[in-house]
Amino acid sequence: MFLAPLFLVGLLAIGVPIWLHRVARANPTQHPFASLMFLEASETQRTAKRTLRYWLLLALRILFLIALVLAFAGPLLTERAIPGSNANARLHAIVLDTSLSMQHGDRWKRALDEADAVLKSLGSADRVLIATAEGRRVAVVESSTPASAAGTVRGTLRALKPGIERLDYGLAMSTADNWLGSPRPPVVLHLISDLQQSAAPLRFADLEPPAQTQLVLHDVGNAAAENVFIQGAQLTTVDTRSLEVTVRGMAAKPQQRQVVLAIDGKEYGRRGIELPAGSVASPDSTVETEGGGDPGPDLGTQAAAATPSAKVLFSDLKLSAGSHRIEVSLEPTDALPQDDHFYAVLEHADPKALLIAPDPRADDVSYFASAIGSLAAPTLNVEERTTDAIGTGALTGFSLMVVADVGALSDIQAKRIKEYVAAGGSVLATLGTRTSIEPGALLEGWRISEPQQTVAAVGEIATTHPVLRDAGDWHSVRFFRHRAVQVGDGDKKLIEYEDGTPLLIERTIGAGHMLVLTAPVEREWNDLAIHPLFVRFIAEAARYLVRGDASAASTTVGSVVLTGLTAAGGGQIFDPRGERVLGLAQTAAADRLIPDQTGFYEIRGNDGVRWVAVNVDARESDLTPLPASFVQRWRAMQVRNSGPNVAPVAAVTAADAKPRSLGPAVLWLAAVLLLAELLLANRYLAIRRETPK
Amino acid sequence: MSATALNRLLAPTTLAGLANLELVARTAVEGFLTGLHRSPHYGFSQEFKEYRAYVEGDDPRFVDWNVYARTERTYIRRYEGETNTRLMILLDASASMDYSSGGVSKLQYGKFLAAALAYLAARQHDPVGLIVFDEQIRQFRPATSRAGSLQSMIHTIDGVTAGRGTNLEDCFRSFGEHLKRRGLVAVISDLYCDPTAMSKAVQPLAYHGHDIMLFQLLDPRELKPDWRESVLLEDVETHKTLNVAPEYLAGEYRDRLDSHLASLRKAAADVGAHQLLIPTDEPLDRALRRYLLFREGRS
Repeated sequence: MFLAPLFLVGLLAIGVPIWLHRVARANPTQHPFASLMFLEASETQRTAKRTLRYWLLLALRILFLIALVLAFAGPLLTERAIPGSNANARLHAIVLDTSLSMQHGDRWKRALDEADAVLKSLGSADRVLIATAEGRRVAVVESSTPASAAGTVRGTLRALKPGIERLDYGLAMSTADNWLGSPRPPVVLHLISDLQQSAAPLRFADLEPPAQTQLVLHDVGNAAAENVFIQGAQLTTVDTRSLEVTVRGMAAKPQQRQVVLAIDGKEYGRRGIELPAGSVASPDSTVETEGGGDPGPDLGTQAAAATPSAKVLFSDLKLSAGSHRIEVSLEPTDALPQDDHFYAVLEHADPKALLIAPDPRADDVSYFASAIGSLAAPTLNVEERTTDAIGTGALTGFSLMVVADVGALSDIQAKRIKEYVAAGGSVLATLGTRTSIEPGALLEGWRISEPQQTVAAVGEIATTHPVLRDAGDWHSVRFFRHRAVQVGDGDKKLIEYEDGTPLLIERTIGAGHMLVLTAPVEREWNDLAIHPLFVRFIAEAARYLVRGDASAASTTVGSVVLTGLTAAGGGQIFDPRGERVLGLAQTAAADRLIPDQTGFYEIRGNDGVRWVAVNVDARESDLTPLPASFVQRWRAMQVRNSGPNVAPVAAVTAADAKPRSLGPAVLWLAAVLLLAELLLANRYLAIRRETPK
Repeated sequence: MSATALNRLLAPTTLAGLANLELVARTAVEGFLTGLHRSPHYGFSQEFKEYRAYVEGDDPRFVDWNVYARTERTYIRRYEGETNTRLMILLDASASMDYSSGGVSKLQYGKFLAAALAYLAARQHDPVGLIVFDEQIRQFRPATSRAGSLQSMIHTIDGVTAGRGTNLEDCFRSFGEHLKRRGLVAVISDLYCDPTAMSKAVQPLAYHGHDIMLFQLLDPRELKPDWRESVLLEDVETHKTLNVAPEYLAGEYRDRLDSHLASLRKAAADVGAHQLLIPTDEPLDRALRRYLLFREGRS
C-alpha cells in the first residue's frame, strides 16, 4: 500500500543512471599515443573487480532512486503484512458511550474502570480497538493495537471525556461493520454505557451487531439516578407575551428548584417550582415491547410520560420587536448540570395594525376594526386613520395595514403604502366604490371595470393557501355587485367568482404581500360582513400577513442548522464562547452548521445578525435505564448471530489497523545511500582523472 | 664533480633546460668524457699507436715495411688517433617522434643525441653528416670535418620539427644514394616499422660496408603504459583512435612490444647492425658510451 502511488512513476528515473553508466563506459577519455601498431580494441576485456566496482556504484544509485521514490510514494505497512498472527486472536472493540448522560455522577469513572478491566482480561494474541459513540458518529480513537500495547491504550482512554450529544445504540450497531473494518478477526464488542432507555432505536432490529461479533454489554448506569432538567420553554398559544417553562425530574424525594429566566443576558425573573417525588425509574417499570422488529411504543416517550413534570409561567413579557435570547436555568444544579439550562430565541413582532379608510364612520371600518380587535393570536392593536392622515407618522411600525378602499388613496399615499409593502410590510385592501378603472400605483397594471349589478357566487377557491384552508363557507356568501378585474402576471387569484372574475387576489411587492378583496365589505355589495367566516378570514389573513407570530425556537447539539449564509454574501458564525466557527476558507460556503456547544450561536450575514439557540437533547436527561427484558432480548439477538457453530475467521489480522508509514525510514535509507554513493563516486572520480601511478 | 652529479647534469630534462643545442651537446659530451676519464678500460688519445705481429688475413697495406727492412719481420703499425671515421646521423623526424608523456619528447631527445654525437665526432675530427627524414628525406648534410661545420650542423639539428608519418624502409633505400663512402651510420628513430622490411632496407647499407647503429628511442609510457582505466588512444600520425583497456596495455601490449624489440634486435644482428633501445628518461651517456665502443670496435 502506498499513500501516493502516483509517485511510483518516478521509478522510471532508474533508467538515467543506467544510461549514464553505459555512456561513461562507451566514452573513455582520449589520449594521444605514438603508434597504435601494437594495440587493438580491447574494451570488452574487463576485470571482474572493475566490473564489480561499477556495478556497485550503479546499484547504489539505483537503490537511492528507488528509496527516494518510495519515500515520496509513502509506503504503508498494514497489519495484514505482518505475519505470525494467531488464529485464536480476537479483536476486542471497546466502545465507550460518550453521550451527555455519561457525565452524570461517577458514570464516566466507572466506564473507564470497566475498560481497564477489559484490557486486563485480554489474551496475549488479542488486539484491542477503542471507539467512542456519541451523536451521529462512532469515532475510532485507537485503531487495532496489540494487547501488549495496553499502556498506550490506557493513555488514550485517560484522554477521553464524555460529550454533550445523544447516543443512539441503533446507529452505533448498524454502522459497526464500517468502523470495525474488514476483513477482521472475530470481534468481541464491549459496549460500555449507562444503557439509557432513551438511547434505544426506533427499530429493535437496528441493534443487531455484525456477523461473527460477540456483544458484551457493560452497564455503568445507576438505576436510582436522580436528575431534574428543563424539558423546554415556549410561548403560550393563547398569549404570545407569556413563556411557559416545562421542568421534568426523576427523584426519590420532592425537588424544589428556582427557575430563572434571563432575557438577552439579563435576569428577567425567577419562579419557585416543586417536582413531586417517586418517579425514579425502575428497570422493569416500563412496558415491554413485543416483536423482534419494532419495540412497539416509543420507550423514550413512555419514560417521558412517566416522568413527573411541572410548568412555570412567565407572563406579560415586555419585549420589543425583534430577536431576544432567552435562557432558562434551574438553581441549584444537580449531578447533570448541562441540562439545567435551556436556551431559546424569541422572535417578537410589534402587534399593531393600521386601519385606513376615507370615512372613519363607514360600516366597513367598523367591521374591520371589530374583527381585528377580536383576534387572540396574534393580538393586534388597531389604530384607525383617515386617508388624509397617512402623510403624517411612520408606517414601518405596523405589522399590518388594512386599506378600506384603495381608490380613496391619492397617488402619493398609494406610493407610500407601496414602499411600505416593498420593505416587507403587509396590506389587506378592498376595492371600494371610489376605485377607478386605473387604480393607481398600489395596484399598478390592473384593469378594473365598473361595478355590475348582478348577483354572483364564489366559484374556485385556492384551499391550499394558508388563508383559505378552512374556507368552506365562501360559497354561501351572497354578492349583489361585483366588478371585473384584470390582474397582473405575478398576482395570484385565491378566490374567483363563478364567472372567473377574481374576488381575492394575493399580490407581492418587493418583500411584502398584499391581499386584495375586489369587493368592499358593505351591505350594498355583499353580506360578507355579517357572515360567520368574516372574522375567521380576517384572523387567518392577519396571521398570514403578519407572519411575525411570536415564537421561541431552539435546536439541539449535533443537529444540522441552516445558517442562511451564501457563497456570494459570506458571513461569520460565532459560537457561544464568542469564538469564530468558520475558517477563512469556509466563510463563503457555510450554509450549514452542526453545533457542538450549548448556548447561542451568532450568525452574521448580509441580512444582519441572527441567533440560534442550541440545547442538549432532552432525551439524554432521562436517565431511565433499559428494561432488563429489553437488554436480555438484545443479548439473545447477538448470541443468535455469533452462535457456537460460527467458526473463527482464519488467520486474518485486523486490517483496519492504522497503517504505519514507512516513509521516514525509507527517507533515512535514501540519505544513507546518497552518502555512500557520494563517497564511492568521489573515489572513482579520482581514478578517472587518469593520473599515472 | 662526482660522476653521479655529472650524470644528473646529463639527464634529458636537465639538458632540455639549456639555452641552445650546442651548449647541450658540449655539456653532454664534456660531462660524459670527464666521467669516462676515470675508467681504466677506455682511453681516448690520437697519439696512441701499437705494433703487433702480422697474422694471416691482415691487410698488407698496414705492414710497416721499414721495420721489416731492419728486422725482416712483419709488424702491423696502428695509429688509433689517426683513424678518422665518417659518421652519418640519420634522424627520424616523423610525427610519432614528437610524442611525449610529459618529459622530453622522443624528437627532442633524438636532437640531443644527434648533437652530442656530432660534437663528439667533431672533437675527434671525424667527418659528420646529417639526414633528417620522415616519410622521405627532408634534409641532407654531407659528412664533413671542416672547421665551423659543427655549428652549422647543430643549427640544422636544432631547427628540426616533427613532420608527418614514417616510411623507414623507403628512406633507407634512399640513403644509399647519399652514403657513397663507407662510414658509421647512426640511426635515431623509434623504429615503428616491420623488422623484416627494415632488415631488407638496411641490408644494402651493410653490404656497402657501413657500420650501422640503431638508436631506438621510446617514451617510458610506450614501454610501460600506466593507465588504470579504459582509454581512447589516438595515433599521432594517422589520428586513428582505439579504445584500449588497461588490462590489454599491461599484458598483450607489452608482449607485443617485447616481441617487436626482439625482432628488431635479431633483424639488426642479421645485417651486422647494432640496435640500442633508449628510454627518453635515461641520460645520454649510455648512448654515447655505446657509440664510442662501437667506434672503437670498428677501428
